[in-house]
Amino acid sequence: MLSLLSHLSQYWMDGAVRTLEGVRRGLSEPFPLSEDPPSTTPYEVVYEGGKVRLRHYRAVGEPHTTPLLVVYSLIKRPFILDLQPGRSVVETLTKQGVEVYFIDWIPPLRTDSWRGFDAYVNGDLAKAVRAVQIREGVEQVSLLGYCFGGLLTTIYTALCPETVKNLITFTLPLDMSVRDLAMNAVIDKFRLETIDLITAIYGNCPAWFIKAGFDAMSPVHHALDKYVGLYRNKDKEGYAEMFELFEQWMNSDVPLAGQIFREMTEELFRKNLLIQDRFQVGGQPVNLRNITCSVLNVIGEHDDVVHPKSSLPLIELVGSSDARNFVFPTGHIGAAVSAAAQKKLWPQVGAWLKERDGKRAH
Amino acid sequence: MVDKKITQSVEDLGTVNKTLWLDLPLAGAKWGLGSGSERETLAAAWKGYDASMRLATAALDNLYRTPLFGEILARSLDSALRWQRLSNALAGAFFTGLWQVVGLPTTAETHALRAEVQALREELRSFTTGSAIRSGERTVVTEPAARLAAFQVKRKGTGAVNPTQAAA
Repeated sequence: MLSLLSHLSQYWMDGAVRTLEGVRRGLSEPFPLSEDPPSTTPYEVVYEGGKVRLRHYRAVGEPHTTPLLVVYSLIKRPFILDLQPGRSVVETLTKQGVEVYFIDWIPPLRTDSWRGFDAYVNGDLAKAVRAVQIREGVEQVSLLGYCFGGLLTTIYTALCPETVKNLITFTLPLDMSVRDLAMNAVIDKFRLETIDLITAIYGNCPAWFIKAGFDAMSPVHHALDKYVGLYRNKDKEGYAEMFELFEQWMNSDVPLAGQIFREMTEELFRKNLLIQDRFQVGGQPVNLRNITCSVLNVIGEHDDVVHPKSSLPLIELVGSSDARNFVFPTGHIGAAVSAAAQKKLWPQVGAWLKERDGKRAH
Repeated sequence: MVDKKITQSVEDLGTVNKTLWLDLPLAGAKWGLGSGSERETLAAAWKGYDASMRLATAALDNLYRTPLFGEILARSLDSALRWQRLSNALAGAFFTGLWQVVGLPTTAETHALRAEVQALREELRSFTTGSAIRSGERTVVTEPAARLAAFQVKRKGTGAVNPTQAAA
């Protein structure tokens, strides 16, 4: 018991330091990208423009014909997808011959508060796709979007279907009418005035607000249980190291540009316009039926951030004849970092891409 | 789904009570008398702990689902944000005049200066590489060897794709 209490107090202090450093980073302008942990898989930056820094990870061995552009969420740093050797999505994909391009989103400054879905999808994402097309000499790319990144890639594919060969979405928050998570009941009480106040004060949605939201989803876990878990597994090889890296990522929240924050909360979360085909980006209607490429929709069965039911409808709404859901027994981030996902999920994703390399869905 | 959650909570409550009043005292007594082991006592304790964590999570989920809780939280957040907006405005009004008296640059002036330096840097790069760089955009090849190769390709005019121009 004494040993447990002694270890817990040390873990809490370390956790407090990490949280405060995360708050400091989130408030810094510009966001200190240099404080990310070192990359596991080597890459080169091949394009920078707008809020995009495009990385290229070379395929190992015979590469697929179609390159893959990975689009992570806007609200956390993306190093979770390249965390450790053996726990790296990027490494797993490149070893399967996938030529991986990766958008490293540059966190917005206060002066970027005007950026909405139009700027991120029709501007940044479109230019990143163009850069990949030029470098690889292809007309179409495969897109992989994780969570908010899945939303961006889905919207982009609906607007520019001719440029996308395959679409893979992970833990996609699509149907916002699903209110099964307890936190939804709290968020429903927030008024539009609150969003306006936040953007009036900060310009963007501040990183600490995003962190508070994530922590509030599982307060017992974040306050106590994860530290007790660390104590119980302290003799397990690699656990402590993985815990430290994961906690660094948990405290890597970045601000969300004010306009996209408004559009997300009002038009997607409250009014659920996307699933009703009433959502517009840059004056263009986003019709999911325009998505005719092959679609793989990966869902975390135990996801407590994006309820699985929110992601399921995608394959019914797209116009593709080759669309499937793939429910994997994991949580929201487990799909990226768990050992089971690295061994079983990502090889299947690579195989799915390989199968469709050179083929076209009708 | 709700029934399943209630059943789980009832089970967890039973487990916690059983651990506290029966399993732990029993395992501890056996350990003390030499017939049990520390391992058994720990296993009983962790079982109770896990059940109590599930109970606490379920209790908090129920609290979140209480309309009054959400209403109080939303109003508190609104109130805090309004006060912060007021204090920001007060601080801005007070310090703006003070900064001018003291002679220190403001954040806005520093940002403007930084933007000007960035623009000058891009202009200089466009003169160096000979390619037009669109305002607000720049293309970067970070590895020194690749950068040199790109520069040499441009100089030799081989017609090969120049990464610097490719994404422009």
